[in-house]
Amino acid sequence: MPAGSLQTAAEQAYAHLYPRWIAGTLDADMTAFLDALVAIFPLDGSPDQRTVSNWIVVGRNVVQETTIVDDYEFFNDAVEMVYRVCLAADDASIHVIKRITVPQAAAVLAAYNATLD
Amino acid sequence: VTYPQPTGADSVSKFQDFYRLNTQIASPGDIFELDVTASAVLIGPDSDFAQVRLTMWNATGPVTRSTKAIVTPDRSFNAPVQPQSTIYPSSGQKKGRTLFSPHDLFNPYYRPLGYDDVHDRIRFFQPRIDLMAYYAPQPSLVAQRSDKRWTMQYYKQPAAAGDDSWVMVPYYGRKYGSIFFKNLTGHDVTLEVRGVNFTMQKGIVTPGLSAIETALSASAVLAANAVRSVVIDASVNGMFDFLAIKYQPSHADQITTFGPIPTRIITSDDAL
Repeated sequence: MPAGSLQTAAEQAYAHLYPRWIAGTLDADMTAFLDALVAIFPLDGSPDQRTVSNWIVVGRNVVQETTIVDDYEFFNDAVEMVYRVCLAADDASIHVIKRITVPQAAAVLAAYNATLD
Repeated sequence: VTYPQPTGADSVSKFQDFYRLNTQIASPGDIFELDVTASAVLIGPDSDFAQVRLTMWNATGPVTRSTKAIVTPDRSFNAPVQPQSTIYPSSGQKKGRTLFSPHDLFNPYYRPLGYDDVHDRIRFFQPRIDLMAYYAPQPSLVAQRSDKRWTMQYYKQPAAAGDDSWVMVPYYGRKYGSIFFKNLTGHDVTLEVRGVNFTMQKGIVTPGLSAIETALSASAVLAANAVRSVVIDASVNGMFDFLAIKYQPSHADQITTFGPIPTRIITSDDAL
């Protein structure tokens, strides 16, 4: 079931990534998620936006550093990156002064639901 | 995040020879960046987080790859950390900045097992990240965190006597803790202390999912004017992300103003 909010997406990251890790597709799915995030934040961006988009760098690092796709550390690191980027996007978009736009935050959720849910 | 963030350029332009990021975090997703070269990175004295992830561009491998290191009070990163001027298309044209993020888990949606979202209350001491980066080589690095003192006296009132008010205190990587309570409310108070290791689950709907909890001091009444102490020793009790402390009033008078119950907590990186 698609996550209805970024907080829910974060909370469900373990459960949603688990079958992909078991199936051995987690690296490809994470790459698809990161590609979708790059499409939302295609440029270096402002310091405001980078409080979310810098997680793309961490995500690429997680995917690049794994050598065995069913490694438990890779699973954990992927879950943690997804958890944190979802909460970063949530926090950056829910306050009066926003660091990313509401449509950008909605796009992060849509990227999650399209690639990882 | 606390915003705007300090930048390396700020400290360089002020002729400082170090950068210091010292801020409460607002979200588990907080991430910070440094755009100048550092000779060493270490945990600062005021950090609540014991583990900070360093993501940096690879100076000793393929230029398109980043690498990571986890710095802790026991292990600094005592080597040059150099941002790259390269732009990385794989990361959305990001420049090669050095990134810092807490590696310890923080779950602001944690609720203790048994928590009643209608009647009970919870307040957090928001955890702080303190990270230092030196611009010049240092003869020695001491990353051990300062002992930290937490003082409380009044508490958020629960809905009624018999309901709970919880206070959450950071404890990441600490090896020793000492807690003293004194009940000056004039009525009984029930106290309890748990050690909490967070999961990534929200606890508001299902409190038990949001952490692994360990009893450190069982729920027990502290009579008016009585004192209680609790000692936490990592070699005996284990290590925790946070301490969860329950204050339960027994009388309606305590709902108007829940206190004073002076509480003093000392946490330390030193073992007993």
